[in-house]
Amino acid sequence: MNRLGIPLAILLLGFFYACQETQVQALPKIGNMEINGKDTLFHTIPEFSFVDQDSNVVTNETLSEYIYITDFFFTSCPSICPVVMKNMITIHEAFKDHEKVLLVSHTIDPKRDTPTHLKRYAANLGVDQTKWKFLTGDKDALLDMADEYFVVAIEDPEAPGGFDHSGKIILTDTNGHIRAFCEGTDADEVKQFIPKVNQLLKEYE
Amino acid sequence: MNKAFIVIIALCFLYACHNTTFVQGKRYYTDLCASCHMEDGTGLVALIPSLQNSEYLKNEQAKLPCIIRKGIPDTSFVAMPAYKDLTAYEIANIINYINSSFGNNIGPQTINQIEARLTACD
Ligand code: HEC
Repeated sequence: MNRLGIPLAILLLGFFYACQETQVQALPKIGNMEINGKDTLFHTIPEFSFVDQDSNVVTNETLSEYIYITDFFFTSCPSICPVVMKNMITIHEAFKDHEKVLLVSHTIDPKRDTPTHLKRYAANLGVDQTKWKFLTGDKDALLDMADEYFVVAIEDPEAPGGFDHSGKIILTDTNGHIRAFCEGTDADEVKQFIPKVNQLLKEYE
Repeated sequence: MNKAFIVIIALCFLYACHNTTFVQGKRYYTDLCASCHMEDGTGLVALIPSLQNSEYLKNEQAKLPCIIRKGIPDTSFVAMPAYKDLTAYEIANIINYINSSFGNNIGPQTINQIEARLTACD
């Protein structure tokens, strides 16, 4: 019994430590950081101005009260977008009644995806459009914005639908810091992403 | 060797085979169709039709080979693509997989039926 005692104690401590760690760890701020004197500057979404499906202008100011979940897509996309959209709908269902959470989908094909077109698309998805903005605007500004969220999005005539892009889903806090992301094509990753949104919400309680 | 043992092994194979019917069709479906109609056939709300318990599949069997080969022109957002290079056999595999999946309980199409239907739509 005595010989078992020490390993048992170590095991117990291990469990204790494992539990503690998951409780206290905050979501990281993702991206390069800069140390400036005694301030640490985290990667921050820069100023932007786009237009939503109701032709309302949407800027950083519009989103500053919200934590928001972003992706990049286009309505005629034949490759990964339908699966990512399906997973965005799962996230939307989880948070549509939460006043602090918005979904923000950026098109990367503004030529086709005008506000009217996006409005019809959103209606076809049957989602609550007060909680889910579909943004369009200047093409270069949209592609540059994808960069800021670490999403690959480039025009490529060889790619299906004319654009090559990744299906990442990104969580941004009220200060424009990126706090979590997942592969939007992977339902399991999306399942693990949802608790992270809840974890970020706790910071505002 | 024990006879019962052999029978059990044989049953296992039978069961395994039964469980993996249309395994080839499933592979094609996963590679070609699931990105839009989803792995589980649910589609995407009003944008991409669901293939679950599908009335369309029940009523429009004769059209299936042609819509897979010719696609459906873009009426709204995403178009159903044309799979021009699939052979009649590959199309048969796909149709027979979806006919027996997602809650559909439709008998298979024969390769002769499919070839005739493909000739008719060319
Ligand atoms: C790029 C997305 C996309 C892919 C990939 C795709 N489809 Fe479709 N499919 C559609 C859309 C969109 C429609 C509805 C077209 C319409 O009616 O305007 C459709 C319609 C259908 C229909 C008719 C269903 C109904 O209720 O109207 C069937 C059956 C079908 N697809 C089977 C398939 C099969 C089998 C494959 C793979 C070989 C496939 N689709 C691949 C987008 C896709």
